[in-house]
Amino acid sequence: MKRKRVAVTGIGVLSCLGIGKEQFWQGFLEGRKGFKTPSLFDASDLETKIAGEITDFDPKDILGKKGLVDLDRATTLLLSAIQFSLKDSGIDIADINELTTGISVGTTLASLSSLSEFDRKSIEEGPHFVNPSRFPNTVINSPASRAAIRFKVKGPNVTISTGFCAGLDALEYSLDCINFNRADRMISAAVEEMSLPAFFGFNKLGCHSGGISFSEGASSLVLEELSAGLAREVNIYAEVLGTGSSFYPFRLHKFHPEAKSLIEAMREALEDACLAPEEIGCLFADADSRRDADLAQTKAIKEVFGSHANELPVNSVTSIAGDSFSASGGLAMVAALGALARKEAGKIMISSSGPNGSSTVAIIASYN
Amino acid sequence: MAKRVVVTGLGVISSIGIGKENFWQSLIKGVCGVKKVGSFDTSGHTAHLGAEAANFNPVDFINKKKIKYLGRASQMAIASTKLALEDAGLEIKALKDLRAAVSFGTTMGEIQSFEKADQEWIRNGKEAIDVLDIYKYPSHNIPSNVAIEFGLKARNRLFTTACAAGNYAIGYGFDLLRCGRADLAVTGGADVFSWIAFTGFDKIGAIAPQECSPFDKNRKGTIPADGSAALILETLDRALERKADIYAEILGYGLSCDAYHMTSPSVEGIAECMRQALKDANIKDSAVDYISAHGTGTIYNDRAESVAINEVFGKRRISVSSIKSMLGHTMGVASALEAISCCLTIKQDIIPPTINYKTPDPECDIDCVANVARKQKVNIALNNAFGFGGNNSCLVIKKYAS
Repeated sequence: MKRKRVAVTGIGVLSCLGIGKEQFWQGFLEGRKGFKTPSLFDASDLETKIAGEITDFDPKDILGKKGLVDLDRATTLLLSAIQFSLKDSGIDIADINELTTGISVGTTLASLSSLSEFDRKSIEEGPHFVNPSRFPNTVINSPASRAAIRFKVKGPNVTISTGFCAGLDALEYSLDCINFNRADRMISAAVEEMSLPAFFGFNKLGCHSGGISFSEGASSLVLEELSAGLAREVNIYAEVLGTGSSFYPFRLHKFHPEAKSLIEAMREALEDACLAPEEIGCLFADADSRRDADLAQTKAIKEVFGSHANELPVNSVTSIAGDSFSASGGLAMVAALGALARKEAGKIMISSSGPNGSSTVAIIASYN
Repeated sequence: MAKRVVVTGLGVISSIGIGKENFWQSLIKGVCGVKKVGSFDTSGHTAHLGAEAANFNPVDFINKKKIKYLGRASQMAIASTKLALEDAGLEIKALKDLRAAVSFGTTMGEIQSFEKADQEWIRNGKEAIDVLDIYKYPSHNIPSNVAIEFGLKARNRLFTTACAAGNYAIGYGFDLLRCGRADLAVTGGADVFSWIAFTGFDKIGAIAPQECSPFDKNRKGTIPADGSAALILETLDRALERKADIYAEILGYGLSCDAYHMTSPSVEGIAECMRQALKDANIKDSAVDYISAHGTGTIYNDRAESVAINEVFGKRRISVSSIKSMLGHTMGVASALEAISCCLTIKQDIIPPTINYKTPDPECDIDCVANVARKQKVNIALNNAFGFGGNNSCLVIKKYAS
């Protein structure tokens, strides 16, 4: 099937490094970490006491006062990221065919705090005392659907919940929508919110000890055909050259020591982008300081890049922005776009992989 | 050249039957799966009925030692996949050498694990939570567990587009095969009976007190339900090569979003979705013989869907039925179960009825195949599904012809 050339023309991001892409990129240049004692809940009785929370986030500042009453944190984070990206790309949905624009969102835990709040009310006060206008927040696609309502986006609206890979899976789905003529442009986003149930869950699964620093985050990229971006004479941040994705069945919550799915996904992405491993200038790896995860990453890099692995700069966005689970792939994409904007890297590979056996990889490059 | 994609295996876990044969016999006989809710006490609710797959017992399908590590949605997904693989005549050993993808849809995911942990938290504090429930909760465990159980090594996805998720998952599997990213795809959905979903639907008055009667003038709502469905998709070439029995061909699908309201449907969004599906499948509206309706039995859905159908298909009377009248609303798995029903309808040329239909509603001016199954040649079927948030999907399924 003949592939279209797809460009990134808008970026929106909120992370524990700050609100907006400049703050985000500046955070990386300074090596500033975003972890602190959480203000959203009391973590004093938990093993891990720091979290990657977005402080100073007031949705009213970004979205205005109207229509925020029933929205949960994940939704307002997502709406803010999308609003930034649309403005950045110079697209006004009202001016274009709203049917030809779509949204794909990667998130797995977006509904967790809303579920918890709704459930608590139903148990403590009884089923009749739940707030019906909060019920829609208990479905995982609520943030994406509310984004469609707010921005009048009537094309494909998809929520993908694939854990650590969801951000890049949503990106690949957006590319598919453009390639299969389901949409002319896509908003590819990812979000996870900080909440006690999510933080506690990661804590209990032992991800914090010697591992993940759980953080929240939201990102949004406007993707459109390169020719459309050029015709609009907007800034082309990058071209997405290819993607790859794979699954290797092993054991749930355990990385395969041979990193088979990541190797496969990296190779598929290289093939999709028609590139040799040596042509990759930098790797934004999904290393999150869990021992088995990082060993698997290293194994995959050496296997796929051979001797080039010795010269290939590899970084981990997670070390600075924390691990935001399904939003992590989106944040890594935005970080990589920042490196391209500063002309500090050639072609960049971004990888994500989860202990369930999934891996997804994307390759981007500056347009010239 | 895009590859042709066919359905070669079906697996069902439902309130009206386990396995495609029991399911189909119940559908054409008009068997109703609705009973008093058994999963939890509904004395504090207004509504008390559900259509639970209560006969599903995981030990019939899964090694006993593994069961405690699997949430019930994963258990059901594994079971329906096992049935579908057997139905397709595929040996599990043979799957290891294929690029076999998994694409499932769900609304609530492993919600029972969450509810169990959350109730423990509320009553006894968070330290009382069983860590196994946290382990089982993240919803992407569902397709991962399916892939791990059967050794499936290609893209692995979970679509959480509410009650339209099954169609999204099948459509995605179709795309993977069409463009050569996989050789085979296990597609479908899984949703388990949820206290939170039941409580919410109860509070918004969406649950019928006695029966689910789609398109009837006196319809009073839907009936929450659970189950799982799996469809094996293969490229036509592969299916022919291994002389597989072909149920039907997937021609395409359409997606749209109402961008209107979180819980109320929109005629415009639904009509657009069906038009997108016809366009993607490259067929005219006159080619469609049957529509498997979303047909939830709520006042608003059935009215909007009927108006949209008449808008897209003009004056032509087309057979439309809602199997939710028998199954209740199985949420994210509904459209996957309905896709299975469409495949069997196409194969058998029998349309399952909309049961509980008594009083025509002038606002639902469609032929809803009232109460009794209909023998009719069905070459092309549309499968409608619309979810919370205005997530709409429509799948086009055709009788296979070389």
